[in-house]
Amino acid sequence: MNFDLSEDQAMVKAAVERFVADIYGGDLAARRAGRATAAGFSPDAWARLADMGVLGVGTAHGGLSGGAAEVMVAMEALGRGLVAEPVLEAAIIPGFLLSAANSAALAGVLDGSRVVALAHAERAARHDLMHVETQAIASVGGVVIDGAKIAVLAGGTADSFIVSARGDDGIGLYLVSADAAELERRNYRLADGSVAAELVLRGVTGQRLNANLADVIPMARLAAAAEMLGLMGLLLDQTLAYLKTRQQFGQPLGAFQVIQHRMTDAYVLVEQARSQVLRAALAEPADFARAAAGAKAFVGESALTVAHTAVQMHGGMGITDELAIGHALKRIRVLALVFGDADSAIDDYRDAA
Amino acid sequence: MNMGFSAADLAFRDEVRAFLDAELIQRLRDGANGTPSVFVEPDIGLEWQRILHARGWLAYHWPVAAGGTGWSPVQRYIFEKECALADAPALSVLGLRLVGPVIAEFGTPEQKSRFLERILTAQDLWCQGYSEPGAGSDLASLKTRAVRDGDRYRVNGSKIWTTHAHYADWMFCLARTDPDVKPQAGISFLLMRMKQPGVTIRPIIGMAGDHEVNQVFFDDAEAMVVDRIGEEGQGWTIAKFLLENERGGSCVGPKLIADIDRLGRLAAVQPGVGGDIGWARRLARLKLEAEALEITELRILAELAQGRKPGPQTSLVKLVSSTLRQHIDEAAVDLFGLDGLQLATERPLYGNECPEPVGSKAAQMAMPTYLNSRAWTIFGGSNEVQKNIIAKTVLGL
Repeated sequence: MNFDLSEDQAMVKAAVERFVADIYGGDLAARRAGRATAAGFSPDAWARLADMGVLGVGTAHGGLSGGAAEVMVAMEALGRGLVAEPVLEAAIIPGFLLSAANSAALAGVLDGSRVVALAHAERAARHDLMHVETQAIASVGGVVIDGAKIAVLAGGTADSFIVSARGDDGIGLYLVSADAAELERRNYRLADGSVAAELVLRGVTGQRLNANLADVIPMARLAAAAEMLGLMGLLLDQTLAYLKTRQQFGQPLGAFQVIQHRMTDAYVLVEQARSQVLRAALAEPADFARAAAGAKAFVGESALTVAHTAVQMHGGMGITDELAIGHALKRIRVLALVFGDADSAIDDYRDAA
Repeated sequence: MNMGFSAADLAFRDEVRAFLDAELIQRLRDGANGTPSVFVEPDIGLEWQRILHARGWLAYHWPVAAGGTGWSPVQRYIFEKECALADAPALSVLGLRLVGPVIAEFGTPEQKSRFLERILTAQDLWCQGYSEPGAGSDLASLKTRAVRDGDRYRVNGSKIWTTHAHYADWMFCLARTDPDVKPQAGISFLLMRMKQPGVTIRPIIGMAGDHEVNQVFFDDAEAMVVDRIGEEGQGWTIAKFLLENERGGSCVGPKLIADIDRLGRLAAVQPGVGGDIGWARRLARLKLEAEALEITELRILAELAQGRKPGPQTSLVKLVSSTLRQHIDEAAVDLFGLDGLQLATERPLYGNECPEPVGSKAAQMAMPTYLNSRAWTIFGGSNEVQKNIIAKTVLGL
């Protein structure tokens, strides 16, 4: 039993931290600049992540590769850096699926030249990840896709989509070009400032991927939980620093016991969240899906509580756009709800028991 | 990173399991499960203690020279986990976990030979004299006064929440020997006989009806100077060692997980509850918290195993585990519906004298267990004290 980072994991952590220090440098300027673009993130920063091998984390390919533990380490560091680049959405998820399918499209994801986004969520499904109404219909030239997708993360500038659709053999995944004439895309902003897309597919040609949707969900959940863990650490540290300097009633706010106890509650949530993320990342393969579902639910609820505490502790400044606090809260809002809200993730967790 | 045990540790686990299968008789398991309070009664606890002592596994928190097992932190964890999962009675911590290691560390050779063996053989039962009516969370303000009179101290004052004082032969006691220095510096660590004219015990009955704790009054009670541990005025330092020793790794998570799983099995067959999604999610959330706690404990254990000193994360374990214990016991009361309201006044709730349960044995245990478990967030440093510790030592507030 050992919870120290291996040499490879320490390398992943160091790489992401170097990226954060170089590009983000401790203030919100880079995040604002990235969010201000049409894509919602910086192409230069994305290229840098590709050069460093970060976009291959969790696949069998690319510079840093590795498995669940490496994904955890990378995503936590990205969360702590409040990074705008969609590593979870446009690297971990498509990387996992295209790698599993042995698809030629993987190369473009790893080298950062192509954005591939998973188009899975549907309005009628709400948080049921296995509810897919979009249809895959056999036609003369292959398969065409009919249906509608919402909340396609990193969908704003995607070159292609991995679309889930129901066919004769259940839910399949299909690679679809974003240029297809039968595809209608509307971009919009999510709470965290990222650019998502809503899609309408009317007989779009799709290329079947030999990969399963159900296989990527645990990894996506672990990655989201780890990113939230990093965000929780950021929130805790920044709030503690503020409480030690901000003076009211002739003393630092942190000297008040009511504040101390609220921060202790937050600290406990962060430590317990870390344990749940570790539990999922280090789980035996047979237990991984269940553990990741549980971790996602647990960390999602905890992170939201910590974020709300951080806003409250900052008083008026906490509700502004000027601090990292609000940005972290908004990112947690998104991460906590995608790939199943807390209740649906908990249902997966207990059903698998 | 990995969270698995080594092959040697797994072999040790199998050895412990085989021992428990063979030696942990059903009567003891029933006694443990039929005890709503934190401490089991001597008829259960001492028998289990004898069995463990015969195997040489009793004093596993003691130095080898004093009769300890020499187990690694991981082995201690495995042993406690397997015992908890097998429904073994909880060993009384008073002699084995609290005063024993203190005597082994600070005692004179004469004190060690007089006291340690008798703890192991249960010839002496111990109780702890820390809290006072006027000194609860603020322990350093304690007022019990010990005045030197030749070869002995005359002790006056009162201790409260004294677990099993009514069974104890000895008390280890914090008393003020010097009222003129700062509070922590005037305290000494005295061992005193309970069966003497100056000691009176008043039972305090808990709201579930259990007699577990007492108030103890000293009226010119005697403590011999040769029975003082350490120097005069060293009591606070020794008390802190005792606390740190108590924090040398814990194993609470696995037992809580097992209890939640048991509730889950009961919920599945409880009329009106089985299949209810609200119940399933409530229990799942408890289990996620307990699983996180288990890993938190393993993280501390990994630090210990590598010779590093775990910090005040132990306060975190106390905080989380006591709160979770209460949430589980609250869920149990809710689970049994109106059957959850029964509160038998008879004790014990095992063996032939146990009254017939209404509904089920688990339903009978739910209310008294829940009422007793309100103590978890109060004893051993209340949750609020733990939060003060974390805020100061971890968060730097």
